[in-house]
Amino acid sequence: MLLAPDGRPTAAGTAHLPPGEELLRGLAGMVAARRFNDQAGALVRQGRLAVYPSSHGQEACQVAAAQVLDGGDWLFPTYRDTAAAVARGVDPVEVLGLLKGDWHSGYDPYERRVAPLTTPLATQLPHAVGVAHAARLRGESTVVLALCGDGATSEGDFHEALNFAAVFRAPVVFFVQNNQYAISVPLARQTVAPSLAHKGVGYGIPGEQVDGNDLAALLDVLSGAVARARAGEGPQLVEGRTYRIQAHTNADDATRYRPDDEVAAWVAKDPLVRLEAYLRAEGILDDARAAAFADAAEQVARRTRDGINHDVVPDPDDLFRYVYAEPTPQLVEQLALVHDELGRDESSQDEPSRAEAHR
Amino acid sequence: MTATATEQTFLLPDLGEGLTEAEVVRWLVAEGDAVAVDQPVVEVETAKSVVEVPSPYAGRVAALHAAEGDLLEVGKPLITVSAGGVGPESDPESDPPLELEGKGGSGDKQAAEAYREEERAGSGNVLIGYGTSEHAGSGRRRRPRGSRPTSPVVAATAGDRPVKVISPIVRRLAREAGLDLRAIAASGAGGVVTRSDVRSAIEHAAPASHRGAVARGAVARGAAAPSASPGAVASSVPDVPGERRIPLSGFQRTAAKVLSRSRSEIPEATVWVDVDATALWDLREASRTPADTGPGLLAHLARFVVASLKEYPVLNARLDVERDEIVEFDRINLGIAVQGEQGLVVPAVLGADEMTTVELDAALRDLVARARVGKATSEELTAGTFTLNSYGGFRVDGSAAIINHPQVAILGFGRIIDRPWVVDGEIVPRKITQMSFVFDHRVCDGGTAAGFMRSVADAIENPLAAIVRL
Repeated sequence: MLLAPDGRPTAAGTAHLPPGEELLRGLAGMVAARRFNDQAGALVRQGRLAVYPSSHGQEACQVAAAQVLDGGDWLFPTYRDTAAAVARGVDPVEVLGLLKGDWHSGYDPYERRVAPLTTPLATQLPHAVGVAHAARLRGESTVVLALCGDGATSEGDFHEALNFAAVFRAPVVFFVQNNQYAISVPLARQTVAPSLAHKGVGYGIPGEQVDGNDLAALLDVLSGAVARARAGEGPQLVEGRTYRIQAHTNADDATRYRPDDEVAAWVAKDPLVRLEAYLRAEGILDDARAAAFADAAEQVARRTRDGINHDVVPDPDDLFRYVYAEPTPQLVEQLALVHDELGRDESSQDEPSRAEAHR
Repeated sequence: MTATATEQTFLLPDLGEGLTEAEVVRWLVAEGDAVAVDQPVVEVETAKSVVEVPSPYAGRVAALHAAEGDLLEVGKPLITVSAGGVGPESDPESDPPLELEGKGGSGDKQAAEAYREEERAGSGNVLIGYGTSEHAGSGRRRRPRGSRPTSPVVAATAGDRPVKVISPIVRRLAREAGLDLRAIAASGAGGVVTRSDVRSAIEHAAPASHRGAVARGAVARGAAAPSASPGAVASSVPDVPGERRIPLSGFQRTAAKVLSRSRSEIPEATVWVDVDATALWDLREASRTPADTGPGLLAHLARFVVASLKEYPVLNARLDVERDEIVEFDRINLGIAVQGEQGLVVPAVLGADEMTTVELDAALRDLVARARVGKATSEELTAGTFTLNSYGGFRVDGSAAIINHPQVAILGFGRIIDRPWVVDGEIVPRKITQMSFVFDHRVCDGGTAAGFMRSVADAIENPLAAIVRL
């Protein structure tokens, strides 16, 4: 921890605090991330998104993960890391493609070097290691930052990824956002290790625990890990201790498994409040700047809202177009059946047929 | 419904991955109010949680399409906002009258009903997954052939040969229209029934189903949009003269579920005994001072129950049927049956095992007062490990109560009344109450249950001896 919850630097803080401009950039990102989370939360209750797992309360982790990477690096997010993808520059509307249920499930991963959001737990970790290992074999300076949650550390993929990365010295940073709950399962039912960062010991890699609601500390620790990986010193495990303020998704009622006072205690450690208090106390942030951040966040929200509210009529042929480079005979046959069906509708272009094309 | 160019109607969305309905708890806006985009307009309760729904439109509220307490199906109009300009355009083709006409087969109704049941049963099922409704749906598609809904219009002509259908969309279209696929003329290659075949069959059958829609509209209670009232769910059931249909509230439905589950899963047995409570009554009276009324009888009973549960921990437990294991709890969270404003609730005094009689008295008074007005916390309402049921206030003696699943026992006390009693060979008036004890016979035998009840009864009859052992 470099900044205490009230925004005052800790003893360690003064020596390691990142430059003011970096922190300002981080605050702008967090303000936008929080607004994006709120907007997506509204959209899901308006039926425009199928589901939304919010990272409200985890914005420092989201923004830091994007901010410590260079343009040529890769980010491997989970389903809760939409705000990290947005912070890395992916179009917010495209980021929500998966959660809206678009046929293509999202964005072009190569454009911003952000892998697809993964719903199965920890499956992105071996993929991340593969990309990092490949980059190393090619002699590229790419670093991969792979995100996962506390629940994912119980998965076999987590073990395989860390072990492989350690043995092959892959330039990958494993960043665990420990938000205390795997849906409804508390951390105590997930592990009896003293911390998740301790798990690095078993793989022979450094493990570091950091206050996940302290953006300054996160930038310090994560950029150190990225630099280490880039210098060829191998992977690192970083555990950010944070908290999921809202329910797992809109389909969850968090009051069934955690008490209100526990949530309130974490609300008091809000990452935005802490950083803003520090920057204002230091005279780095003024009202004009803060208003500009809020405006920019509002732009992101508006862009998200308008984009998601815009209905796209899918082309049924897309179902077949991108499955194989060379379509199989079965797919050709199925495509013909679809064309046959749609051809029968053409005489009467009425609503039910269009509705079905949507499904 | 008339959707003009300046009016936008927000249809109730699926608020939790595969839900089909929600209950309107509270409107946060009234007709005529101005609303902004994303402003919460209504609080609804789904099978999963209570949710504030934000408006996607800005403007003025033109109509609220349901009353508080109404059950609304997903896809039905929720609120109409006029002269907005921001937000998604309304889609007149998806307005409800069109949707209504496609539905109405009785099989479909039953299926929807069955699905709602499954939905409620699985209320703890909170997943990131997307397949809930589809999964339940596909299960239903494999219904036995005999139960397949048959067409009200077109008679079945084909035999038992399998119908050639490729697309599940075609099957669904036919099912929703109440048509038998076997009776539909196939025009696809190789005799395959296509979607357009089903649709032309629907068109032929349309006059009849249109009449049905009109009739349903007519019985709905005077609302501008019939589909928005509870009539949308109930009105397809024919009204029978001399009968009234009263939908269960969300609270009642949840309670019904727990009660049914208890009775269908737990092989319970009941034991009872009359208890002479005179000595305890006197003790209670003796502990009253002008300044302090002292602990009530219920607190004394609770204290004795806690002591006896420590003696018989198997009754402060649940049964893990998957592993065939009894799970005993260290902690005693003493559930107490309370008649609340909405209905019976059973909140628990948490950590009752660590409380003195005086502390229990305060905790019980506080809990009961809060529970009566619906202010017990969700933890209190779910954490009980054993239930104490005092129904003396209803002036009855005994009750073969229903165990509060997943608990394994419930102890009841009837009224305390003066009765002639034989003491030392003399008939004298005494304060008599009856205790009824219902227990899950899988976790213990009658001997244990009787031992537990006797332990409590002896304490009541001889409280001083019990208290010195506490």
